Amino acid sequence: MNRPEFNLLYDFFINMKLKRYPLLFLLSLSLGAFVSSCDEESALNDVSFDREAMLTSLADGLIIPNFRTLQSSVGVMNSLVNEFSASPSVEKLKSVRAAWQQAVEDYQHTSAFGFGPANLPLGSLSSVLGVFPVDEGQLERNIGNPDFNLPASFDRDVRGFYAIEYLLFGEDLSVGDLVNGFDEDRLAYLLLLVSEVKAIVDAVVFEWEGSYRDHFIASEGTSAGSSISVFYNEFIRDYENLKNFKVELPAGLTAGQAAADPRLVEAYYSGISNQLLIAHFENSKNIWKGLSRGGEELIGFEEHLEAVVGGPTLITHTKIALTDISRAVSSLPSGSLSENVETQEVRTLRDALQANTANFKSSMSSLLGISITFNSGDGD
Amino acid sequence: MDIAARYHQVIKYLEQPISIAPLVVLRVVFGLLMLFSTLRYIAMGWVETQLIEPVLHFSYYGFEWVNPLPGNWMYLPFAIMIASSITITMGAYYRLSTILFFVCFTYIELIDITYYLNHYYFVSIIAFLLILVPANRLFSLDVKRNPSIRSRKVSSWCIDIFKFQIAIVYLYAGLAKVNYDWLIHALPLSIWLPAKSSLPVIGGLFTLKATAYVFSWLGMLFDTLVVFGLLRKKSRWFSYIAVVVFHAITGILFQIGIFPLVMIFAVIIFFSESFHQRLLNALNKVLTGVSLFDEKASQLREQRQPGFAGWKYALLSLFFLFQVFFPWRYLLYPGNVFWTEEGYRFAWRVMLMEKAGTATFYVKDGENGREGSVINGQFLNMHQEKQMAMQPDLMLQYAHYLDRHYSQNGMKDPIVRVESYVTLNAQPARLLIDPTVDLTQVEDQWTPKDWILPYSTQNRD
Repeated sequence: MNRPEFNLLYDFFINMKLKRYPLLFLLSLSLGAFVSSCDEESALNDVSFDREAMLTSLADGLIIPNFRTLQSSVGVMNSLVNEFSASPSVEKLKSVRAAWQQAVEDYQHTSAFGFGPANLPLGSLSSVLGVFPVDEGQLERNIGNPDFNLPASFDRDVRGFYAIEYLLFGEDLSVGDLVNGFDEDRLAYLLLLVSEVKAIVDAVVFEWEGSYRDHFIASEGTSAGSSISVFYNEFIRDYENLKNFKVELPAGLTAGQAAADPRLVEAYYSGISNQLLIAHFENSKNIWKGLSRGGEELIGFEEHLEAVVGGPTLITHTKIALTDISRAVSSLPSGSLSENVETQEVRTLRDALQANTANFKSSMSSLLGISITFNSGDGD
Repeated sequence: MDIAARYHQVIKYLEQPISIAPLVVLRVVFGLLMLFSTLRYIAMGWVETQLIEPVLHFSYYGFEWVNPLPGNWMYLPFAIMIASSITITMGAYYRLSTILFFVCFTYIELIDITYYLNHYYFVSIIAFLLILVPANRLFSLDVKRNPSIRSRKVSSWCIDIFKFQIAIVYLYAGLAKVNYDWLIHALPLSIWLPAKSSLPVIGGLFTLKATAYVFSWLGMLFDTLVVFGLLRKKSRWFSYIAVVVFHAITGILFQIGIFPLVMIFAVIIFFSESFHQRLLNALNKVLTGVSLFDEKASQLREQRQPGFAGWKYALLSLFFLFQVFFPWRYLLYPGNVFWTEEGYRFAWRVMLMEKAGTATFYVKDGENGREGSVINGQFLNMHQEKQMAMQPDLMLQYAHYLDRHYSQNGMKDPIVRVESYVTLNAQPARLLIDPTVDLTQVEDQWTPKDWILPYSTQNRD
């Protein structure tokens, strides 16, 4: 049966004498377009990139070694804390502090890897072990509380590296007073925190050395849930944490803040914020550039970008932005960050980190075709 | 021929009785698909993460009054959709079921525009059209209850409206692909296909630039031509195979949920009456013994089709005028529609561009002049942030939300501006919105948005 309203357009094709060969005609047009645009230099090369090689390289050269390093420094911290708790002394406290400092710096080189085994029941690694500021009041209440059960607690700001720091460094206390303050309950809480950190890190390394590595490498697609997508999401979150929570918030540069808030810096009690900022940024850079912590060349996102349309331009932009950040980080005033949060240098660092956010966050995922969430884009 | 006679002829054509079978098949298939899709949505946990958890929702222009139900009440419309998709399938309380389904489905879509998908819009439309047609007059529980409504015929418009709607979807989707980036640069497929190179067997092909070109051109040709192929008996099967292949490929390549299935099944309506009759006969055989669908009792009573219903024609005329013309409104706006997105939605632009942005909002206290940036994650989930960061009207909504939020927290006359770097089809990111404009002073309107910075192609790679 003929349906007149549709025949109109069909007649159009007949009259164009294209009835028999419309497909052929249009295909030859497309071929023409393809050939003619080959003359232009607009990134028309075939795109071939081995994502599995990238995942392998980053897993074996960066992620697993960094977790192992963390595991060993946490191990050292754990045994020193045990010695300290057996017979507290100023000397022992000092070596525990040094061990903590090493461990928390090593932790900066893993905070971006909070997926897979490091995606813990309470959240990703950094949202469990790397939370600051510490809730001092709650932490003190936990110490004397016989009913307190750390594994069952959902509080994130009474555990992890910065809660340990609070116990080890205190505020405005001499080392001697601090050691004297370590009664049985306080020592028990310290042991509890350190052993939790150790248990978590040990488990992460165990899984990475076990089946997770192969699983990570094998899932080489780009859709949501693939290795590259979950890794990418953590990488971005970690980079934004650096900007938002380690720089912007203490500097009072977040909307709604009436003033800077020095107590919001990372590692407030030990005053090593700058050092940790540098380590954190170093790891972000290593992931992007494809470098091991020791500086050996790996295959990272930069190499991936080299292989895609629009990638080389983004690489140029990103490198400029990263250089700016490096400069800004290294020109932070010496001394503890909490005393300098209102300086121009901190502002400059924030701006430099901000300027690179779009490169990392949206432009790169767009060019690499990485799905960020499960429900993205429009169907066809 | 004078107009009156012509009009008469059109009406005669629209009223001419044809087999109801295609409509019945559509009803059954649609009901089953919607049941599946509703269950899937719940199983994915999306009621929780997309509707209940978000701190704020982005509204559709003119539908700001649509809000989510409190807490777990949000599951209520989903329960209704489950029930009504089952009753639609079985043809029970048909009119009520289709109305309930349409209202619940559309309500959920209207809650948050960041989840806008053309195919959700399509489902809403099909549900709406189903309300107007008597798809329950055969092979249904309604007939079982009331054999007097049984009919083997419907007016031809009851089936043509669906074909016409599907034709609009494909044709407009195809025409939208006729643009410079799509055809000449094979963008965005040159970005998307290499990202899928790990797929088995065909993955290797996706690293070739030529593949992106072939897919771009075939995609455009498919969308624009497929309906014509489906309309003609000679080319129907070939076209249908093309439909299946096309949607299967896009389904494998991209995370687009159930939509390939929706189109693959919706298009069945183009098949002949006898094809649908055979489908129903087969189904009837399967269900023999299930007395619900035993047709014998009512075999003899054939009721004539109800006649002309003027209000339906008026409504459908308005509806299709809207369908035909609304997608072209983008022509009234200056600038690149991909960049400004003025007139982008509701126009069957599907999988057409690769766009992404990072939007940093700055809120300044109007009194003391202190300015700070907003941590978007405190207010938006990842999906909302991603969508907001590339769509001007959503950035404006968010700015207004921030205005209210910080005012409520005691800030005097907040000034909100946004620095939004957006990349479109692999071009270097550039500012989408004028970063000096105080968005609290801007209202969303139909008029062109002069606070969007123009998209210039001069620094194309």
